[in-house]
Amino acid sequence: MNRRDSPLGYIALGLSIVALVVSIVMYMSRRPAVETAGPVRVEPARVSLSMVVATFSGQGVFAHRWYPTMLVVREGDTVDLAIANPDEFAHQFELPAFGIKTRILNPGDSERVTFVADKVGVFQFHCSLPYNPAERHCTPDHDEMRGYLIVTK
Amino acid sequence: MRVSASGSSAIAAALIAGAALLLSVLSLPSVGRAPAPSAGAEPATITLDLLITGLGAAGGPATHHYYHPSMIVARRGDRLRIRFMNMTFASHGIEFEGYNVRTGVLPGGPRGQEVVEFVADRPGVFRFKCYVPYEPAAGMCSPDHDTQIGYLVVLDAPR
Repeated sequence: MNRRDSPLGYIALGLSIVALVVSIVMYMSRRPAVETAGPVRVEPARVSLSMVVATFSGQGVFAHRWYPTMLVVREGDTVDLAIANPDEFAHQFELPAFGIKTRILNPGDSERVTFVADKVGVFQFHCSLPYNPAERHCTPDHDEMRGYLIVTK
Repeated sequence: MRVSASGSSAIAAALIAGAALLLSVLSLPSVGRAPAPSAGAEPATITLDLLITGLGAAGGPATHHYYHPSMIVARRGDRLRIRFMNMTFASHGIEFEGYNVRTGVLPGGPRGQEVVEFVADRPGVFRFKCYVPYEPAAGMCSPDHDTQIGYLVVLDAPR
Protein backbone atom coordinates (compact mmCIF):
# COMPACT_ATOMS: atom_id res chain seq x y z
CA MET A 1 0.00 0.00 0.00
CA ASN A 2 2.83 2.36 0.95
CA ARG A 3 4.80 1.53 -2.19
CA ARG A 4 1.84 2.04 -4.48
CA ASP A 5 1.46 5.53 -3.00
CA SER A 6 5.02 6.70 -3.85
CA PRO A 7 5.93 5.68 -7.43
CA LEU A 8 8.21 8.69 -8.05
CA GLY A 9 11.22 7.25 -6.22
CA TYR A 10 10.98 3.98 -8.14
CA ILE A 11 10.70 5.79 -11.48
CA ALA A 12 13.86 7.74 -10.58
CA LEU A 13 15.59 4.51 -9.55
CA GLY A 14 14.66 2.83 -12.83
CA LEU A 15 15.81 5.81 -14.91
CA SER A 16 19.14 6.04 -13.09
CA ILE A 17 19.79 2.31 -13.61
CA VAL A 18 19.15 2.80 -17.35
CA ALA A 19 21.54 5.79 -17.29
CA LEU A 20 24.18 3.67 -15.52
CA VAL A 21 23.92 0.87 -18.08
CA VAL A 22 24.22 3.37 -20.97
CA SER A 23 27.23 5.00 -19.27
CA ILE A 24 28.97 1.62 -18.76
CA VAL A 25 28.46 0.76 -22.42
CA MET A 26 29.83 4.18 -23.50
CA TYR A 27 32.82 3.89 -21.14
CA MET A 28 33.72 0.38 -22.31
CA SER A 29 33.48 1.34 -25.99
CA ARG A 30 35.51 4.58 -25.84
CA ARG A 31 38.39 4.64 -28.33
CA PRO A 32 41.96 4.14 -27.04
CA ALA A 33 44.09 7.29 -26.71
CA VAL A 34 46.64 6.15 -29.32
CA GLU A 35 44.05 5.92 -32.07
CA THR A 36 42.49 9.28 -31.36
CA ALA A 37 45.91 11.01 -31.09
CA GLY A 38 47.05 10.37 -34.64
CA PRO A 39 47.95 7.85 -37.31
CA VAL A 40 48.67 4.24 -36.53
CA ARG A 41 52.09 3.69 -34.99
CA VAL A 42 54.65 2.19 -37.32
CA GLU A 43 57.76 0.28 -36.39
CA PRO A 44 60.87 2.51 -36.31
CA ALA A 45 62.84 2.40 -39.56
CA ARG A 46 66.53 2.49 -40.25
CA VAL A 47 67.27 5.18 -42.82
CA SER A 48 70.66 4.51 -44.41
CA LEU A 49 71.85 7.03 -46.97
CA SER A 50 74.89 8.52 -48.60
CA MET A 51 75.37 12.20 -47.81
CA VAL A 52 77.85 13.78 -50.16
CA VAL A 53 79.27 17.16 -51.06
CA ALA A 54 77.87 17.81 -54.52
CA THR A 55 79.40 20.46 -56.76
CA PHE A 56 77.51 22.47 -59.35
CA SER A 57 78.79 25.04 -61.82
CA GLY A 58 77.43 27.04 -64.70
CA GLN A 59 77.48 30.56 -66.14
CA GLY A 60 80.29 31.55 -63.78
CA VAL A 61 78.43 30.39 -60.65
CA PHE A 62 79.94 27.68 -58.44
CA ALA A 63 77.97 25.93 -55.73
CA HIS A 64 78.85 23.27 -53.14
CA ARG A 65 75.87 21.68 -51.43
CA TRP A 66 74.99 18.69 -49.29
CA TYR A 67 73.18 16.07 -51.32
CA PRO A 68 70.50 15.20 -50.37
CA THR A 69 69.50 18.56 -48.95
CA MET A 70 66.28 17.49 -47.23
CA LEU A 71 65.92 14.39 -45.07
CA VAL A 72 62.53 13.40 -43.67
CA VAL A 73 62.17 10.69 -41.02
CA ARG A 74 59.78 9.80 -38.23
CA GLU A 75 60.46 10.23 -34.54
CA GLY A 76 62.31 7.15 -33.32
CA ASP A 77 63.84 6.22 -36.67
CA THR A 78 67.55 5.45 -36.78
CA VAL A 79 69.45 7.65 -39.22
CA ASP A 80 72.63 6.14 -40.65
CA LEU A 81 74.60 8.48 -42.90
CA ALA A 82 77.68 7.66 -44.95
CA ILE A 83 79.08 11.16 -45.28
CA ALA A 84 81.58 11.57 -48.10
CA ASN A 85 83.54 14.42 -49.59
CA PRO A 86 84.44 13.91 -53.27
CA ASP A 87 85.19 17.65 -53.62
CA GLU A 88 88.74 19.00 -54.04
CA PHE A 89 88.43 21.09 -50.87
CA ALA A 90 87.99 19.92 -47.26
CA HIS A 91 84.54 20.05 -45.61
CA GLN A 92 83.00 18.98 -42.30
CA PHE A 93 79.43 17.85 -41.63
CA GLU A 94 77.64 19.02 -38.49
CA LEU A 95 74.09 18.43 -37.22
CA PRO A 96 74.18 20.28 -33.88
CA ALA A 97 70.72 19.30 -32.58
CA PHE A 98 71.80 15.66 -32.38
CA GLY A 99 75.44 16.26 -31.42
CA ILE A 100 76.70 14.99 -34.76
CA LYS A 101 79.99 16.33 -36.13
CA THR A 102 82.40 14.49 -38.38
CA ARG A 103 86.14 15.04 -38.36
CA ILE A 104 87.50 17.30 -41.10
CA LEU A 105 86.78 15.44 -44.31
CA ASN A 106 89.66 15.97 -46.73
CA PRO A 107 89.11 15.26 -50.43
CA GLY A 108 88.15 11.60 -50.76
CA ASP A 109 87.43 11.09 -47.03
CA SER A 110 84.23 9.68 -45.62
CA GLU A 111 82.76 8.99 -42.20
CA ARG A 112 79.72 7.07 -41.04
CA VAL A 113 77.44 8.51 -38.36
CA THR A 114 74.44 6.88 -36.72
CA PHE A 115 71.88 8.39 -34.38
CA VAL A 116 68.26 8.00 -33.31
CA ALA A 117 65.98 10.87 -34.35
CA ASP A 118 64.40 11.08 -30.91
CA LYS A 119 62.90 14.57 -31.13
CA VAL A 120 60.41 16.16 -33.46
CA GLY A 121 61.23 19.30 -35.40
CA VAL A 122 63.18 20.90 -38.22
CA PHE A 123 66.93 20.69 -37.70
CA GLN A 124 69.61 22.33 -39.82
CA PHE A 125 72.83 20.61 -40.84
CA HIS A 126 75.72 22.47 -42.39
CA CYS A 127 79.44 22.60 -43.07
CA SER A 128 81.30 23.57 -39.90
CA LEU A 129 84.73 24.12 -41.48
CA PRO A 130 85.13 27.86 -42.20
CA TYR A 131 86.35 29.01 -45.59
CA ASN A 132 90.15 29.25 -45.57
CA PRO A 133 91.70 29.23 -49.04
CA ALA A 134 95.27 28.90 -47.70
CA GLU A 135 94.39 25.58 -46.06
CA ARG A 136 92.05 24.55 -48.91
CA HIS A 137 89.27 24.47 -46.31
CA CYS A 138 85.77 24.77 -47.77
CA THR A 139 84.75 27.28 -50.43
CA PRO A 140 83.48 30.89 -50.67
CA ASP A 141 79.88 29.66 -50.50
CA HIS A 142 80.53 28.02 -47.10
CA ASP A 143 77.49 29.67 -45.48
CA GLU A 144 75.15 28.20 -48.10
CA MET A 145 76.24 24.60 -47.46
CA ARG A 146 73.21 23.72 -45.42
CA GLY A 147 70.31 21.34 -45.42
CA TYR A 148 67.51 20.20 -43.12
CA LEU A 149 66.48 17.09 -41.26
CA ILE A 150 62.73 17.06 -40.63
CA VAL A 151 61.55 14.67 -37.91
CA THR A 152 57.80 14.07 -37.76
CA LYS A 153 55.67 12.14 -35.30
CA MET B 1 7.10 4.54 6.70
CA ARG B 2 5.89 5.91 3.40
CA VAL B 3 8.44 8.71 3.53
CA SER B 4 11.36 6.41 4.32
CA ALA B 5 10.56 3.98 1.50
CA SER B 6 10.48 6.66 -1.19
CA GLY B 7 13.45 8.41 0.49
CA SER B 8 15.69 5.33 0.37
CA SER B 9 14.91 4.64 -3.27
CA ALA B 10 15.58 8.31 -4.07
CA ILE B 11 19.01 8.09 -2.35
CA ALA B 12 19.82 4.93 -4.30
CA ALA B 13 18.70 6.63 -7.50
CA ALA B 14 20.90 9.63 -6.71
CA LEU B 15 23.96 7.41 -6.07
CA ILE B 16 23.46 5.42 -9.27
CA ALA B 17 22.87 8.58 -11.29
CA GLY B 18 26.07 10.04 -9.81
CA ALA B 19 28.05 6.97 -10.90
CA ALA B 20 26.50 7.22 -14.36
CA LEU B 21 27.46 10.89 -14.58
CA LEU B 22 31.08 10.11 -13.56
CA LEU B 23 31.38 7.38 -16.22
CA SER B 24 29.84 9.68 -18.84
CA VAL B 25 32.41 12.40 -18.10
CA LEU B 26 35.26 9.84 -18.22
CA SER B 27 33.99 8.68 -21.63
CA LEU B 28 34.50 12.14 -23.16
CA PRO B 29 37.44 11.92 -25.60
CA SER B 30 39.45 14.85 -24.25
CA VAL B 31 39.44 14.14 -20.50
CA GLY B 32 42.89 13.28 -19.14
CA ARG B 33 44.35 12.92 -22.61
CA ALA B 34 45.59 16.37 -23.60
CA PRO B 35 48.54 15.91 -26.04
CA ALA B 36 51.92 16.55 -24.43
CA PRO B 37 53.66 19.64 -25.81
CA SER B 38 56.68 18.65 -27.91
CA ALA B 39 59.99 20.41 -28.38
CA GLY B 40 59.60 20.78 -32.13
CA ALA B 41 56.22 22.46 -32.01
CA GLU B 42 57.51 25.91 -32.93
CA PRO B 43 57.39 26.84 -36.62
CA ALA B 44 60.84 26.75 -38.20
CA THR B 45 62.46 28.87 -40.87
CA ILE B 46 63.93 26.85 -43.71
CA THR B 47 66.58 28.84 -45.58
CA LEU B 48 67.76 27.21 -48.77
CA ASP B 49 69.35 27.89 -52.10
CA LEU B 50 67.50 26.37 -55.00
CA LEU B 51 69.82 25.85 -57.95
CA ILE B 52 68.51 25.81 -61.50
CA THR B 53 71.10 23.72 -63.27
CA GLY B 54 71.45 21.25 -66.10
CA LEU B 55 73.33 18.32 -67.51
CA GLY B 56 74.30 17.34 -71.03
CA ALA B 57 76.66 15.00 -72.83
CA ALA B 58 80.31 15.44 -71.85
CA GLY B 59 81.60 18.70 -73.32
CA GLY B 60 78.22 19.55 -74.84
CA PRO B 61 75.51 21.98 -73.85
CA ALA B 62 73.05 21.11 -71.09
CA THR B 63 70.04 19.33 -72.52
CA HIS B 64 68.31 18.28 -69.30
CA HIS B 65 67.61 20.82 -66.61
CA TYR B 66 66.77 20.17 -62.99
CA TYR B 67 66.61 21.80 -59.59
CA HIS B 68 68.75 21.18 -56.57
CA PRO B 69 67.03 20.31 -54.37
CA SER B 70 64.18 19.05 -56.52
CA MET B 71 61.98 18.48 -53.48
CA ILE B 72 61.42 20.88 -50.60
CA VAL B 73 59.71 19.56 -47.49
CA ALA B 74 58.22 21.70 -44.74
CA ARG B 75 55.65 21.37 -42.01
CA ARG B 76 52.48 23.42 -42.15
CA GLY B 77 53.31 26.82 -40.68
CA ASP B 78 57.05 26.74 -41.35
CA ARG B 79 58.55 29.75 -43.12
CA LEU B 80 60.44 29.19 -46.36
CA ARG B 81 63.18 31.54 -47.49
CA ILE B 82 64.39 30.27 -50.84
CA ARG B 83 67.03 31.84 -53.02
CA PHE B 84 66.78 30.77 -56.65
CA MET B 85 70.07 30.74 -58.56
CA ASN B 86 69.99 30.29 -62.31
CA MET B 87 73.18 28.54 -63.38
CA THR B 88 72.02 27.74 -66.90
CA PHE B 89 72.56 29.41 -70.27
CA ALA B 90 68.95 30.51 -70.75
CA SER B 91 66.56 32.62 -68.69
CA HIS B 92 64.05 30.96 -66.37
CA GLY B 93 61.31 32.08 -64.01
CA ILE B 94 59.91 29.83 -61.30
CA GLU B 95 56.46 29.70 -59.76
CA PHE B 96 55.02 27.68 -56.88
CA GLU B 97 51.61 26.35 -57.88
CA GLY B 98 49.00 26.75 -55.19
CA TYR B 99 50.91 29.48 -53.37
CA ASN B 100 50.81 32.42 -55.77
CA VAL B 101 54.58 32.81 -55.35
CA ARG B 102 56.89 33.41 -58.30
CA THR B 103 60.25 34.90 -59.15
CA GLY B 104 60.90 37.36 -61.93
CA VAL B 105 62.58 36.20 -65.11
CA LEU B 106 66.11 35.26 -64.03
CA PRO B 107 68.99 35.44 -66.53
CA GLY B 108 71.71 32.81 -66.28
CA GLY B 109 74.71 33.72 -64.11
CA PRO B 110 75.40 35.74 -60.95
CA ARG B 111 72.66 38.29 -61.75
CA GLY B 112 70.02 35.59 -62.04
CA GLN B 113 69.27 35.26 -58.33
CA GLU B 114 66.18 36.09 -56.34
CA VAL B 115 64.93 35.32 -52.83
CA VAL B 116 61.29 34.42 -52.27
CA GLU B 117 59.88 34.14 -48.77
CA PHE B 118 56.53 32.77 -47.68
CA VAL B 119 54.82 30.72 -44.98
CA ALA B 120 53.88 27.18 -45.98
CA ASP B 121 50.36 27.50 -44.60
CA ARG B 122 48.63 25.09 -47.00
CA PRO B 123 49.32 21.38 -46.60
CA GLY B 124 49.71 19.29 -49.72
CA VAL B 125 52.00 18.51 -52.62
CA PHE B 126 52.66 21.47 -54.93
CA ARG B 127 54.71 21.73 -58.08
CA PHE B 128 57.27 24.44 -58.66
CA LYS B 129 58.20 24.91 -62.27
CA CYS B 130 59.45 27.27 -64.93
CA TYR B 131 56.72 29.57 -66.25
CA VAL B 132 58.82 31.11 -69.06
CA PRO B 133 57.92 29.41 -72.38
CA TYR B 134 60.71 28.09 -74.56
CA GLU B 135 61.72 30.77 -77.04
CA PRO B 136 65.20 30.11 -78.45
CA ALA B 137 65.53 33.43 -80.32
CA ALA B 138 65.06 35.33 -77.06
CA GLY B 139 67.23 32.99 -74.96
CA MET B 140 64.17 32.04 -72.93
CA CYS B 141 64.09 28.63 -71.24
CA SER B 142 65.10 25.45 -73.06
CA PRO B 143 63.52 22.63 -75.09
CA ASP B 144 62.87 20.56 -71.98
CA HIS B 145 60.71 23.33 -70.46
CA ASP B 146 57.79 20.99 -69.75
CA THR B 147 59.81 18.73 -67.48
CA GLN B 148 61.49 21.43 -65.39
CA ILE B 149 59.41 20.54 -62.37
CA GLY B 150 60.15 20.22 -58.68
CA TYR B 151 57.91 19.59 -55.69
CA LEU B 152 57.09 21.35 -52.46
CA VAL B 153 55.63 18.96 -49.88
CA VAL B 154 53.92 20.61 -46.91
CA LEU B 155 53.24 18.10 -44.15
CA ASP B 156 50.18 18.41 -41.96
CA ALA B 157 51.68 15.99 -39.42
CA PRO B 158 51.09 16.56 -35.68
CA ARG B 159 54.04 18.21 -33.96
